[in-house]
Amino acid sequence: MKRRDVLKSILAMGVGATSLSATAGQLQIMNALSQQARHSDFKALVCIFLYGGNDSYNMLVPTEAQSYQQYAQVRQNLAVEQSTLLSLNTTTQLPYALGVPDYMSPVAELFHSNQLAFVNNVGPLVEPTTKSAIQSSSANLPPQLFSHNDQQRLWEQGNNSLVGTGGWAGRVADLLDDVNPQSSIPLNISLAGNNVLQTGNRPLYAMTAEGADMFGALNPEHDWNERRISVFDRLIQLDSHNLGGAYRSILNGARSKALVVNQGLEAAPRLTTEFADNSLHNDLAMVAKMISIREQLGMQRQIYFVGYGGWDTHDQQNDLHPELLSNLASAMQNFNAAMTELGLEQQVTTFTASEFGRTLTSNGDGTDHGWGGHQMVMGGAVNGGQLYGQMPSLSLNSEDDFGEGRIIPTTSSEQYAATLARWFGLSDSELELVFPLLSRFDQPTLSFI
Amino acid sequence: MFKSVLLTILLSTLVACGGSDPSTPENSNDDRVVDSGNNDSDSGDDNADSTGIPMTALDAARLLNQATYGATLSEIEDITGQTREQWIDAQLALPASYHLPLIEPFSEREEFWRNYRVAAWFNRALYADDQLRQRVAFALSEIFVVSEFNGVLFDSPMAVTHYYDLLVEHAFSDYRTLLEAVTLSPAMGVYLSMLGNEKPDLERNIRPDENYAREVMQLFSIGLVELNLDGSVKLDSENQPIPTYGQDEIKGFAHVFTGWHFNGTAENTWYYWWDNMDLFEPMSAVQAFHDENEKQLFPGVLLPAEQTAELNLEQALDALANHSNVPAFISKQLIQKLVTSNPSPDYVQRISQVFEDNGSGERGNLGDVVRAILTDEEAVEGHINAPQSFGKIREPILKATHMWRAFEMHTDGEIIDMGWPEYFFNQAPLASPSVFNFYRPDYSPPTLKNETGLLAPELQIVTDAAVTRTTNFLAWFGLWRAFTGDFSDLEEDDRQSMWIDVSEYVALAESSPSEMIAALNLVLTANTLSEEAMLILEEEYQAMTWAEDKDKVANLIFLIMASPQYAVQR
Repeated sequence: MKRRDVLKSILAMGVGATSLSATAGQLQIMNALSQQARHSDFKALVCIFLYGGNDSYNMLVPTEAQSYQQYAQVRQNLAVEQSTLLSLNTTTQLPYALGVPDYMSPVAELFHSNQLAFVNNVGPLVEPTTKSAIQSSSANLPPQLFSHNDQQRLWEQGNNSLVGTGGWAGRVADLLDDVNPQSSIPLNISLAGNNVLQTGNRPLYAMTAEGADMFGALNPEHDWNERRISVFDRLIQLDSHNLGGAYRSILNGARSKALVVNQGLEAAPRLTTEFADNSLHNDLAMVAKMISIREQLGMQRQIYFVGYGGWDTHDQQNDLHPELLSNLASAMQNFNAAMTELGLEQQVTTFTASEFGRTLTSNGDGTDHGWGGHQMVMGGAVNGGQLYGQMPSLSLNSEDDFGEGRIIPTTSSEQYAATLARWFGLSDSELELVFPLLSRFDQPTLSFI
Repeated sequence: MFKSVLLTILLSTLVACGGSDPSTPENSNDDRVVDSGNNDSDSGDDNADSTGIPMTALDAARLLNQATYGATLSEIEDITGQTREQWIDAQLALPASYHLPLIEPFSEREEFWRNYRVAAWFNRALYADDQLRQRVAFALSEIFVVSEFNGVLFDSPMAVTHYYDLLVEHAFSDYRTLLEAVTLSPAMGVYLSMLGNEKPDLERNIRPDENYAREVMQLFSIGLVELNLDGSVKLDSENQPIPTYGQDEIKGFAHVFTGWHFNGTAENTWYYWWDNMDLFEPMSAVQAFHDENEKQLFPGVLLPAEQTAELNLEQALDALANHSNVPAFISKQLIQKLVTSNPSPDYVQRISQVFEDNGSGERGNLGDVVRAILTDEEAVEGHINAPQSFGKIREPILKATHMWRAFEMHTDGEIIDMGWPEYFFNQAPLASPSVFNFYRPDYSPPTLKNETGLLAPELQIVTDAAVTRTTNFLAWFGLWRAFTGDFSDLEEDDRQSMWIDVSEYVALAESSPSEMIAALNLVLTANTLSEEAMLILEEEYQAMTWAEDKDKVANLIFLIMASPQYAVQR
């Protein structure tokens, strides 16, 4: 039995039922048995989660007279000015020509150099659905549509909670547990704390843009801590409380990883690519740095999670949204440049996610929670300069409109994620394990990468 | 006086911890670890834990950890011998300590920033007499979330503090009153954009803002799915949860919440909000901007056309407050924030019943709900009956308040200058990243969930980075900032920072290190440390012959407070 198959059988049985120590023991044995890593190349996925719900109908905007008129009529005072749009030149067949606002010019450049693609009208779905099915109450819809944390969960799970509470990247990590045999750092690394996406049977590693802090009084690199550490290690074993045990796991995990990551980062090459000084830029700069020390960390596969908040533009949208898009665009461009500098542009793929698009209609100075929205995928492996999936009609009460411009998705967030996971190295049968609803869609994966 | 009572307390603790025969080798039975901490409360009196019976020192320590910003030796001494009810009733009767007066003196400064607001919060947490009210207000601030991370509020610590004071004011009032105060607070109005929300303009496709309508239901009152009184989810005939509302209800409430703006706004000043900006007084209504059509809320709740904004609001809030979900939805979260992450359904139900009717026919009396939570048999005896699962992960920021209360913090700084507590704790008062709070009440790390099914909400913010920094806080502000004797003996520059005074414990250690350790165990962990753990600590204390006593004590404080034993309040 190959090591990976052993792991799969464990996964199928539910590794949670096994005690952690037994699993760790099995893994060690299997580590010893494994001849080589599953993959010899390096690949990383970087998720930028736009918390709050990006109003992506102001990110991709019709450029031509008639379609722009219709857009402007629906969006009223929230419409992006036509004269500021940068046309997207593409061979993709579209119902209407599209552009991005000029404050997203870095994204237009990435698009035109085939480094970036858009995926249109993506959202959580249980199965393909239509407006008439919804109106006749025969549609099978995800629960709690339009709620922030529920749609975040749906996006990050990649399914309708059929396989437990974790996320698709967590399940990918469980399946690919053998890809980083030399590493004590989990495949899933978060710059935004705990999240559903990366939750699997193995803990994710949650660091910050400042890197990995050392434990001042428990740092084994200093002699003066030696006694304290040995006393502490004896002391903390003496608690059988379940929550205390969970805390101890986090604590001990952080202690061992801080050493490895910190030593790696100290030796990291200096990148010439510069980032601005704000949370998104800082996070992506740290991701770039972590990728640059992949070999020191012994890692062939990594998935990063970066959170970028502030997109819940119920009010002041005209002030807030352009700033967010502008910062997102420049951060993505800088990150792409950093990957090029590292010679990894083919091996690192960055993608956006956001719990929902927003209503086409205005509430006066903002928009409310919607459903489907557009996303961006960036990297050398991406079939860039194209748009994938269907562009919805932007007229109210169209077949795409759930009501008040909440757009019914035509591509499932699972199809979007599965496409990325396939590129990352999952086989078709593994995709089915990770995305149990995938077979309900005619085109399980898309061709954007 | 203090010392003698203390010694009595400690003596009983020691005896109960097996101090009578310290040479007996420890067995490896896991349960023993917890049991040894519990038996002492029962020693000589099997009913010592029942409510209505005078509290032992251990009972007192446990109550103080559940209901205040952290137990101290002197408070344990003060309330030992009282019943839980006596202490709670005395606390309920105390006047409220507000935060705004503490920051007002600084408000005209050029550099008036959030650190004054955070300092006021620490000040009240450490020193206010009305500890229970403050502690409940903090819990409410994580349910009725307003965050300064908002364009307007970030620039106005006064407005954010004023909102906090509303929670302090209404911590023991009735839920309906609290809900209205929260709803009309200008800080909330700004945060969830009810302020300035207008009636529809069909010609321009403009409809009311749904933000407050959605979150007041999902987070502040009824939640997403129908609940039983015991907090469990109701299921339909196909075993599916039953949503409490859909988009139609959201629309109905969104129309209710139109027409409100800064206090004193009139029809002709509606769009000149900067002239009306009042971040303290409740929002007031301008009927011209209020939707006057009829509004369908829940099934059977129809608000007729032509009503005033005020009447519509009143009836809509009544509908929310009277919804059958509210008692369990709010009660369970309060239990989780104060006592245990995994209350039994019976416990939730008992509290929900008090929420429904406090015995005097009042619904939602929060003071009575809090009393019921803290005097419930599960709060009193959970650690005995479910030693491996009862309790909760301490909120990281409450480790700081506990340390500074237990080892009386000293500073010559003008304020308690902890400008960015989230650096250490991943949380700070009224500074959540979103209205969904720092952590969700149903969070559990995957391994814990898979193996035990238990929830540990606070662990959502205990990340690799956060556990490192919280532990570093305990080192930087505890282990390496401890003093004894006269604070003014420290260098002037040093005195600007925050220090812990360990004099009391050094004095105890002089007569008996084991008594000092027993005192730490009582105050910090409510006697959770096992006999073996105490011996390890005593060995370490004795072995550090080269170190000053204060540093030896601080070392033990660090070891205990950084441990998983301490991480769980039980």
